[in-house]
Amino acid sequence: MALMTGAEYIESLRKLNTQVYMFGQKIENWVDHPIIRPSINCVAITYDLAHDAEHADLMTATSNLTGNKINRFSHLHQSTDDLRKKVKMQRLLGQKTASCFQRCVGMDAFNSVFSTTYECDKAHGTNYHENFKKYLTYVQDNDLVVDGAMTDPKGDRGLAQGAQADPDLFVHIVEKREDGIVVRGAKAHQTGSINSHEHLIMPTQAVSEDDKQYAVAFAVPSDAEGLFMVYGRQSCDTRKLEKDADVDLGNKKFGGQEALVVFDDVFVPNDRVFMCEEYDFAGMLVERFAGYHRQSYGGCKVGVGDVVIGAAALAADYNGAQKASHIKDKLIEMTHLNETLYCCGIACSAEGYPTEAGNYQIDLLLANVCKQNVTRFPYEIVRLAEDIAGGLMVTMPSQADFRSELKVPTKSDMSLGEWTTKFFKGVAGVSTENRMRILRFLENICLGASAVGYRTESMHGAGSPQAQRIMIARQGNIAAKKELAKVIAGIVD
Amino acid sequence: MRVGVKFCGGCNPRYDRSGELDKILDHFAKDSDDFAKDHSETGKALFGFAKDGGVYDVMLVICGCNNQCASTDEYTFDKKISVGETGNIPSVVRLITQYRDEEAQ
Ligand SMILES: Cc1cc2nc3c(=O)[nH]c(=O)nc-3n(C[C@H](O)[C@H](O)[C@H](O)COP(=O)(O)OP(=O)(O)OC[C@H]3O[C@@H](n4cnc5c(N)ncnc54)[C@H](O)[C@@H]3O)c2cc1C
Repeated sequence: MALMTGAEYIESLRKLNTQVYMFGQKIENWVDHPIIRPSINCVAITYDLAHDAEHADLMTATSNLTGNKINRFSHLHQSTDDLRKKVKMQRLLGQKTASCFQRCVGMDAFNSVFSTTYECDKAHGTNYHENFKKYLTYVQDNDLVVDGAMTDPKGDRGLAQGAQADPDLFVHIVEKREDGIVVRGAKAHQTGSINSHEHLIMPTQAVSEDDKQYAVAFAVPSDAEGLFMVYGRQSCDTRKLEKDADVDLGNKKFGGQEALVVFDDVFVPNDRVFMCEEYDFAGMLVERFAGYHRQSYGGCKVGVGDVVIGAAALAADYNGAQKASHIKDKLIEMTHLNETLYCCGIACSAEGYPTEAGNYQIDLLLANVCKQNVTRFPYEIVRLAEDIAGGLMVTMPSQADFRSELKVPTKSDMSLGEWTTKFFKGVAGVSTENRMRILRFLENICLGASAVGYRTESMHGAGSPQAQRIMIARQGNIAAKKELAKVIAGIVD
Repeated sequence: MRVGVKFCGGCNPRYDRSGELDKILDHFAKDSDDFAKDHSETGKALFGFAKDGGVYDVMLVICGCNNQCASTDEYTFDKKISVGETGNIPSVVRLITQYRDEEAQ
């Protein structure tokens, strides 16, 4: 099958029988739901840009499995060049959507499951790698979106999987049958899960022998029997339900999406099982996925940062403050922080290496440094953006006030729209509406619905800061650094 | 002469890549003003987007920065002109003119 267009992708979602709940209700037509649709538009652009001559070089790749042209999101990285192009593609998509475009988790899962199953088969004589190659060929041939699902609800963080009061707080095997397995549990915070054709499930953390039923990896269609999703609400989300919602949304077309995905005894046939109690490989799979995903943030959040910097610069232009030296300096600082994140994404890609299975893995230390910076710099970037934007970003009246024809009974006999438009005018030549639009965009990204993707996802997505610090400590080799210091200082033990 | 045009993916272009292509095409408007020309004609530089598996006399690769990461593995061509940061237009035009005129001789 040829690469789908965005419109074809949206139509393909309608064919699925995905079970979606939101605000306490079952949502039948979730594809056209005003709260969900912006996140679907975001995924759709990953399809459209693959057909765009100005972007196809990043958006597509040649499959090592079939030799066919595929969307890069379903590609197994064949070189450090592929790793770099992944980051570049993510930056591009961040620029185009100013949101989370949701397809990275699947790509990161493909690459980590591919290499881990190879090594697991070698150790255990299993057949997971062939299973996975067959599955990925199906995904590539049909140009599908796959949710890479790792994070379990986890209950009491101080307890291991099997010690939880409720055994379902981590996804686990409840039955092993001749023809497959039955799984139960849930995955939380799942990016783009509702918009995905398929789910690829991985363990959330290392597993001990006692808890081996939690060492499980598999793939199921999003509308598998026993599977349902509960949409995660976002700050200011009901603005999308308002009549003629436009300016107040800040980003009308695009948005992110996270959901709780519940598995209530879901059957998985044998050829879609990629790990079944091989607990000694759970940690490897988690570490590899986390590594790729920490690299991803050095691309996607940089692209969003590009738009934030542009918006802050426009806000200054529209205020007439653009020539002030501190404004120029703040824009330089924002650019410096943003490009530093990009440097990290490119560096951990350039230093990548081939796995035993042949696909390329990122440099783990540099990827963790990348993500650690991502837990900080976007916060400083939005702080500077809020500084440049001014207080109006959070105090201006609504779109309905600006457009209101309601006469205010005072001497001037002007409408509410005329009053608000008059008092919120900035420089000559820029309409009040355009000034409001850029401020609403900044509000949305700094503390509205898009802050989920730009701020809190930067903090916790691909692991909370401490998770990276543990990896940095493990990879940092302080002992060797001590030796360096001893030699220079002339210390002989 | 058939010129296959390829853009890099455009993650962080330092200039307007399609604007630069337009400027190059303007120079050869007399040869043909149809960008989608997909064949070769001696003495004329005919441009079109490169297609996978396509065979070209010249590949014109327009990249947004000097890293010039666009891949050209999927095409066959005699000569390649790769444009990095802007400022190269006169030399690109000179080269394409030279190749076209050499071919015509
Ligand atoms: C917007 C967004 C999108 C996401 N998308 C995906 C996705 O698509 N797929 C996916 O699989 N996951 C996704 N995640 C999940 C992400 O990986 C987790 O949020 C992250 O791993 C942290 O887990 P948590 O949210 O449960 O936080 P918690 O585990 O509750 O952590 C809260 C704090 O407690 C600390 N803590 C937790 N456990 C311990 C412990 N045992 N010892 C010491 N300190 C501890 C943490 O370091 C942190 O500071 C997403 C998250 C967000 C916010």
